[in-house]
Amino acid sequence: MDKEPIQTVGANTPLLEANETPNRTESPRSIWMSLIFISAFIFIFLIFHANILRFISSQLVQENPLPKGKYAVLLFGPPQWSEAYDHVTRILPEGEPVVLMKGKQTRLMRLGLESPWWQTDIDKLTKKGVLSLEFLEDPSAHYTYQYVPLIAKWLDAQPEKSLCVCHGRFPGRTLARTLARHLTPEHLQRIALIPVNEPDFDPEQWWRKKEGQGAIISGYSNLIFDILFGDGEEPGPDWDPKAYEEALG
Amino acid sequence: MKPFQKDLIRWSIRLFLAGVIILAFFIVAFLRAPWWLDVSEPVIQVDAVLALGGGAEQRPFAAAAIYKKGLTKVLLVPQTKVKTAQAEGIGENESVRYRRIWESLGVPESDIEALPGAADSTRDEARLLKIWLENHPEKTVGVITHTCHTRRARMLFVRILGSDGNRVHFFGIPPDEFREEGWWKVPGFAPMMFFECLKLATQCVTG
Repeated sequence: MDKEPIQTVGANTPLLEANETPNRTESPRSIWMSLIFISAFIFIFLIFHANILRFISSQLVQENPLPKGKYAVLLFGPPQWSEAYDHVTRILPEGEPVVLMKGKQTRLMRLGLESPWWQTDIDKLTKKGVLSLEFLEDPSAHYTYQYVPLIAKWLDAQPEKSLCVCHGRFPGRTLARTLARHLTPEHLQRIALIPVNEPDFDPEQWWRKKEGQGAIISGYSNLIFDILFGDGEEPGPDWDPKAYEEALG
Repeated sequence: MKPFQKDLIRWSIRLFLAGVIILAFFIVAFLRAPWWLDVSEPVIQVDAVLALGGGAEQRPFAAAAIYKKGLTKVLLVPQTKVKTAQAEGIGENESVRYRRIWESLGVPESDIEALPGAADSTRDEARLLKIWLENHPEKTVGVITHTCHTRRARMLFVRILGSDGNRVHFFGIPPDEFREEGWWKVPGFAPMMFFECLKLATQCVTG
């Protein structure tokens, strides 16, 4: 019986051919499964890594340095918690006003069941020693973009001053986009965005509390909305309690 | 081209198409979210009405309307936990607010009952209602919340209440400024629905 000659890798065999595996066992499916498992592992590692989580939240924050010349402080949002009032009084130059917003009243306010939010601002700031208050007022203003023309008007009326806008930390990026959409470059140069921390969670460890997780999800979903639809469209009518009662029959 | 490379390309195309189909499914499901999240029932006669926390602008008004129509005799209020800002004298605790709204709408204090304990979430409210239902056998309750919240609330209440779940009905009210056509283009609504879907998905996974 003739024996088959033993094939050897000789000096003349090309290297690629020598290293080639004749019967490959991995199918594309197993490669994809491995890739999915590796990606899932990396993803899980990343989402639970504190620095990554901080990076995620930092993308929602917009912070500018305080202006060098004269400036007033606008409480925007309104971020109604003690730290916001403390922050405003800390950065407010002597003799300068705090600017507050007056907008569309809620149902409870209209019925006299709740005092307007600006009343809380007035009370708290006055107690903290703020002497001068100014108002941006539009009884129909409800959404952020509806207040921006009032800011432009204020800036035009005070050409020598800048405006520090104190706002909630995580809506910062969305607010910056709204301002950029509606204000001129000259106006924007005179605006500084100053974020204020919320009281119910530590922004450096937002993932530990449900309020923090909610703020991040809300911040990103509002930012995505702003990217996709800008100011959005007109809302529908308010729900009517009287009509509801009548419909009950 | 080697067979392996051909297979790899074929699998890549399959995965891409699967991704496109899944994405399309999620987009369509999201755009229909206000309807499939709504499992509210028509308002019927119940022994008590519980207005869930988190909607002082609407939920207590709907509860008061049901009371005034004689469809219930008792209004239940969750005792919501005091938030940091409220402790600092900014804003008002929601339970206090609900009571004040009802009193201003002519509901006597004797017909307002607080659930036994503090609540900070829908889950807490369901646990407290379970205690109330155990103390009031045979009584039925209507739970008032926003329409898009009814599916998650019902899932949670039925899970926590167990066999008492059939004594609870869900009455939904549409959120202020909601419009059916192009609702996702109104500021605030798309983030709200997304949040609700996310919470529902989390609830389905974690129980």
